[in-house]
Amino acid sequence: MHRYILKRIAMLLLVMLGVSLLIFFIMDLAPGDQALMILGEAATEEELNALREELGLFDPFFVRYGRYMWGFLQGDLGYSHKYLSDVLPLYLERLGATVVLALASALFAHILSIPMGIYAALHQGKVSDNIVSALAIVGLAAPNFWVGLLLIILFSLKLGMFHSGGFVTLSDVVLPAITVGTANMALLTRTTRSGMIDVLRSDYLMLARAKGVSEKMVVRKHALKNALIPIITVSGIQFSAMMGGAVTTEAVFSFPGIGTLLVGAIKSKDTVCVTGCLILTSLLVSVTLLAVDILYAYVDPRIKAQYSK
Amino acid sequence: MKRVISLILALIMALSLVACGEKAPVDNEGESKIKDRLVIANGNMLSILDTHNNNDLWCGHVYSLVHSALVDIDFQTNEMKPELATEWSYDAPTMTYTFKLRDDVTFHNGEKFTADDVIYTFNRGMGFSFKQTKLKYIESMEKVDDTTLKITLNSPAAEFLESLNDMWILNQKAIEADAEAGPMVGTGAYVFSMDNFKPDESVVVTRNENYWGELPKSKEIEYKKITEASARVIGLQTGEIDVCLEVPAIEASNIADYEGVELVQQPSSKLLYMAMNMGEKGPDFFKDERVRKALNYATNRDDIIIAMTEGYASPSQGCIAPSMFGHDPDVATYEYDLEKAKSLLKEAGYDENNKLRIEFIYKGGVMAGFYEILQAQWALANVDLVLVSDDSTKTVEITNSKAYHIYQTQWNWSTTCNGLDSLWNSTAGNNRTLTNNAELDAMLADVCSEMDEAKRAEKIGAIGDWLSDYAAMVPLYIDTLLTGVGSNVEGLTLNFNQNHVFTYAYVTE
Repeated sequence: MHRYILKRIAMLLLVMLGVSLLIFFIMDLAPGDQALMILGEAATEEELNALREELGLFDPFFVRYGRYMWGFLQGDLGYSHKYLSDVLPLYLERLGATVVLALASALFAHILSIPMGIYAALHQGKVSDNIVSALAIVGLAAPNFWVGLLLIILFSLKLGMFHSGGFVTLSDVVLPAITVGTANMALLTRTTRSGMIDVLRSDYLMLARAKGVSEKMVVRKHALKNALIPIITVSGIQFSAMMGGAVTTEAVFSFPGIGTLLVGAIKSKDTVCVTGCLILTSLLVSVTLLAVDILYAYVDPRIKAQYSK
Repeated sequence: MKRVISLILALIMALSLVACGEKAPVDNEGESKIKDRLVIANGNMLSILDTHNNNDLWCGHVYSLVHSALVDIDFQTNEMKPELATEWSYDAPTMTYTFKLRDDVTFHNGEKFTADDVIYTFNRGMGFSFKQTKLKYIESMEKVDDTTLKITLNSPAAEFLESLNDMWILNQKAIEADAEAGPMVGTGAYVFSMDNFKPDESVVVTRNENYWGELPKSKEIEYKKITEASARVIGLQTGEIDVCLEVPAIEASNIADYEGVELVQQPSSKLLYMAMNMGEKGPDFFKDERVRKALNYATNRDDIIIAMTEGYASPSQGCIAPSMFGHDPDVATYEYDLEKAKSLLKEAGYDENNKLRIEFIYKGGVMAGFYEILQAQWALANVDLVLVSDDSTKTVEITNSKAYHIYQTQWNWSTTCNGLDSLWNSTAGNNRTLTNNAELDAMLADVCSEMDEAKRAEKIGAIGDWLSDYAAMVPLYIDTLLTGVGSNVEGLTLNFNQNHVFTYAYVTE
């Protein structure tokens, strides 16, 4: 098992090296002039060149990349001219909000989707199954900004239960979490349903039933555990996608997450901030996926056994 | 399943209770309860802390809370008001202003305000292109004593005093101590702190208890950015926001029909226009007056207004906003006349077999719809407007290269002469038509130095006529300014040029 984890960590480091190089290269190719965006349209060519010199923009690509990565390893991700702050503390501050949103939306999605998916699988082909499937399709198809605005109108404007935007108290995360979680819930419901249907049809469950195991035990102990692999896969992807921020939802709710941070930095051609945020987000996504892989091994004895040999 | 549903319901109940826990702080002293904080929401917010390094309107909203200038303008009456200068006089023969300054003012860092601060601020401002247009008239400055300052001009400047209203006085020590936040150390009614500034999110300024003027009633003013206009309007309706700026026309009825909030409508001074490139790198076809006039005739402004603003705008009347001093209501305008446009273009050599091809590189956003309308309108006159969408950084580069065909932007008129000079002077940074015309430059210099108001108005009218005939600009419409305000907000002054005064605004319970 340790061998499996070490192998995954080694792969993660390699991936991160490649990703950082790719991000730095893409940002280098991106149109626009960093110096121009900092000094504005009114700057003279002399002022622009002086700033380019100061920022080291005239140095060769690999010199700049090496300098950046050396700073990165020491926790220095540069200074954001857009947000007037060092990138690392800025990112960590926004990350807090993003993680809270990701966890809350995952909680919302899982609490609803897994029971609904199981229920639909157990009542396959019946009216209740069709209703759940229809709900899942609506949840998938509904655009985030629309769901968000509807929730604001209902819960903020009509019922006065929540703030319409911002992130001051923990309750401010409820509506954005439901907004993001709606689409996630829909996908997870469908995944759970199809996974459960496959497992419920398997021979070993028929045998269990034949041996007199109760239906409740069949579902809980045997079917659900075996249907978990695809659910964990989808959950992991959804959670890691959330680490990059939910741009639309954040914009609708003025939620200070990583998505709006990145968009603001991109619009201002704040290359230093964009590069730092992308590399850190890639790192987080990779770590999340690593955690998912490790979770596989604990859930699926076949993987555990493969590396225990 | 029942247990799961019960759990979900319990969770929703618990979250609801958490949500209902917060109450706005209230000042209990006095009979009328005033909320501590006034909340203003906008799609943009303070982005640059250096007052000299931008002309951004939204930054100006916060600057005006934190800073004071020598003089102020009452935009409702167009009268000059004393601020840090208690009185002033002008000696025409020597072209010298003498300002008497307040001696009871301290900066937020505790430094006493003196004439040295004014000299430092204006000298510093001259190094920034954004302020050069306003400060270029200063020949010399002389400190007579701490509270007396003489400013000698290099030529008569009609709007010199007016132009000082946003020349906020800075403190040298503060800037030397902290180049980033130092320019936000002012003498204004509210104090800025980096701790309360979240770029791209919000800024909270707190009342300056040592303010030299009347103390504002709000203890804090929060200026927050809410990009999504619908969310901004809902925030106003729920009472989370007290003033909602930049209300889009589509949301106007949602405010007007809602109890407890008001929709304030004002004709603005914001002129939306298309600028044809008359510069050296511009296309040759715009050098032909017939082409320029044809595009003006081919533009159906009424249709554009309905499509883009739902009627919350008025067609332009020439190149100067009607609300501005000196605007001539009888200025020649180009009514929509497709046949005339086609005929002028035919004379210039363009018809259905040889269409005039104009490239327009734009950044995406809400204006994209307008460009398509314009494309369709001009197509009827045998003009092929090619729309190329690009990102904002690229469009800035193209603007700087001065090699574009046509440019779309807007100008928020504040003072007439300064506006004319900024848009049309051959050396001005905002001259998007890149016009370089000696006759026009001379007329601008003349009007900007005309101290007699009646003669100045006459000369502004003459320039307006000249510009209409020149036709390098397609003036489109003047926006109606829509602002959402809570019914319990008092003391707010909304100005047509969006230089609103929030200092004395407050919210009652």
